[in-house]
Amino acid sequence: MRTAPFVSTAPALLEVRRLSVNLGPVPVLSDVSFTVSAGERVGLIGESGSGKSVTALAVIGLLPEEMSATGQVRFDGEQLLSTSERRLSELRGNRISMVFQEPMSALNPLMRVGKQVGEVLRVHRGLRRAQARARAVELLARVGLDDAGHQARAFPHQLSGGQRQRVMLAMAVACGPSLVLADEPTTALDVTVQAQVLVELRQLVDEEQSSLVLISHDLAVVSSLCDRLLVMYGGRVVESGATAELLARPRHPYTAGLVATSGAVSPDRARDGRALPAIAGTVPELGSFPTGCVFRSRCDRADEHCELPPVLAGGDHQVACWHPHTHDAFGGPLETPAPGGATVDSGAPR
Amino acid sequence: MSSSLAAPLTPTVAGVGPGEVAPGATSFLARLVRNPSALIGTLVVGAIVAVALLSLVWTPYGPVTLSSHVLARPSLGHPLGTDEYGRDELSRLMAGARVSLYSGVFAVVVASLVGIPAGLAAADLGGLASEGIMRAADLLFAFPALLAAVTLAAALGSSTTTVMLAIGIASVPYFARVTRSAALGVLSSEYVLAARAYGRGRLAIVRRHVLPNIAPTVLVQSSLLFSVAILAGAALSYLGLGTPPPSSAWGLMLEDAQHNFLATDPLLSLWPTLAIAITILGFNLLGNGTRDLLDPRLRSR
Repeated sequence: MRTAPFVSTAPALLEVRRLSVNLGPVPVLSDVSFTVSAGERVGLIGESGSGKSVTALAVIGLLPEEMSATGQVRFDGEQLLSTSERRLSELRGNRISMVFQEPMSALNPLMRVGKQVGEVLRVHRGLRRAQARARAVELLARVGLDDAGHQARAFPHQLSGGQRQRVMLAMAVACGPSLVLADEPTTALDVTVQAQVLVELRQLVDEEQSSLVLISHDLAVVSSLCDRLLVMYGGRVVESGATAELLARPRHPYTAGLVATSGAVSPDRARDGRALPAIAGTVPELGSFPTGCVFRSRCDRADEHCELPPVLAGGDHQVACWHPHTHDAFGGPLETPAPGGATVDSGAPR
Repeated sequence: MSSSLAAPLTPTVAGVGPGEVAPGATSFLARLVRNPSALIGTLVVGAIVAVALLSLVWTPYGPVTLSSHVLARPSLGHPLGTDEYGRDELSRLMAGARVSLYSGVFAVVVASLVGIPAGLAAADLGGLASEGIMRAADLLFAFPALLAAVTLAAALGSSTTTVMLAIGIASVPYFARVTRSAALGVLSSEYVLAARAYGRGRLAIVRRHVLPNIAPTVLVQSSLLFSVAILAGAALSYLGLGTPPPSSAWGLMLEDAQHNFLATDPLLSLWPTLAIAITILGFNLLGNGTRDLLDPRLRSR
């Protein structure tokens, strides 16, 4: 069993402080702060448009040119936001690597997959073509590709979605990185393959003793893998805490909604024929989030307090909300959200 | 061909599991045969290249050898007849293929040597550099190619090379534009982002990811320019500006035959016309077929 260093005394491997990203005048991320310790697995969860992917791209320095970032991203003590492109290239793929959502489009369609895995090693380890090819086959075998020697000669379109994502994993761990950023690595895959790829990912980061930042909109995916969760909404972190704690006692109304919706499919519910719970409303367009609390346009607890921005506060379990849910010692909710027009169901899965 | 049918039934063939396609299972030849446009284009272009090469070492008669058989009708001795100086039409056509191919190659090389790097630079650098390059291309584009060829021929003396230099330069904007737009598409793809995420620098990305992926588009453009250049070359020698006599450029042959013998001996006009038309058709077909042929994603169809 690995011990999850939730409150770590060691200096954080990745420290993001007050990271803000703007697209022209429009804020995409606002004051995002979090840390990832060595070997820790952190989940970033939220709906599309919540800023999860932008956070990852900002960390690795690959924001689109039209976006600008301010704040601090410290990796192993090095401030990445102000570092040179050359230095970033040395780190990328070597000490920080990234797994993308759609393995079909993230692999060069004209390059055999073995060669693409070898590319990472040729860039960072200076391997020659033949050495890189041999190492690539080993790596492909390690991520569970059958008959890796043969498959290494395949083009991406000749592999299945799961196989392609395994190739991406092989590329991500090729140099034994300290930090792996996985952006929705299983979203594009079949449900049955999802689980296999997640297990593979977990094994690889364990073996390499890498830290993992796993980005997903799927609470089940992140909670199965991560020590700690950050819930994002509207470009802000609205709640963070240890996975078990956060799932059992969600405090932010948005998190509570997420937990309720992900616990939606149950035999009880199927029998009762109750409507599936949903979080009311839709994510606003970028730039049209309300002032103050970004969630207040969809929140049934919102009142005049919420016109001021709440601050992320608390000890190990932080929440940015003026009216957070409170829970008794046994994990049950003391108060339930007013039914109102919202269908947000209360309570955490036990 | 048969492997694509047999594979699902016998999954152990060549050690390939079910649902997987053996890399390179369908050979280049097999794909060529299933692509009529590419096949016919390849055959026609191949034949023209073969004839041009053959003409270096052998033609039935010398292409400029005079004889007393003036304006002979097609016969066993002269399959396509002779012209007004008794020169063998077939021999002249064969030698003319060489001139045509040379003009195409020269124009394409000039256009791609300048146009492709310019397009790549515009796509990769973006911003002001891109604006500068593309506006310069627009400027060049606005200058009529034939006028440029006429001017250059007047200045440097008319020869195949000067004329094709002009055609090549005039085609630079086409290459720059096609390259830039194709490269922009590739540069915004996720696999380029992924390549940056594993530490590849800009130049290496252009070389290893952008170039191979835009190659089919650029090759199609090349083969189209090839036919444009051959046509322009023929037109200019027809106007007396390109290849000077007594060379047997097809445009020159056509001008002579059409001017003097269209009514009395129309076959003399037909041969060079056919040669020009078939060559251009061949390159156009090849250009259309090339794209599909080079795309590995289409291989397993």
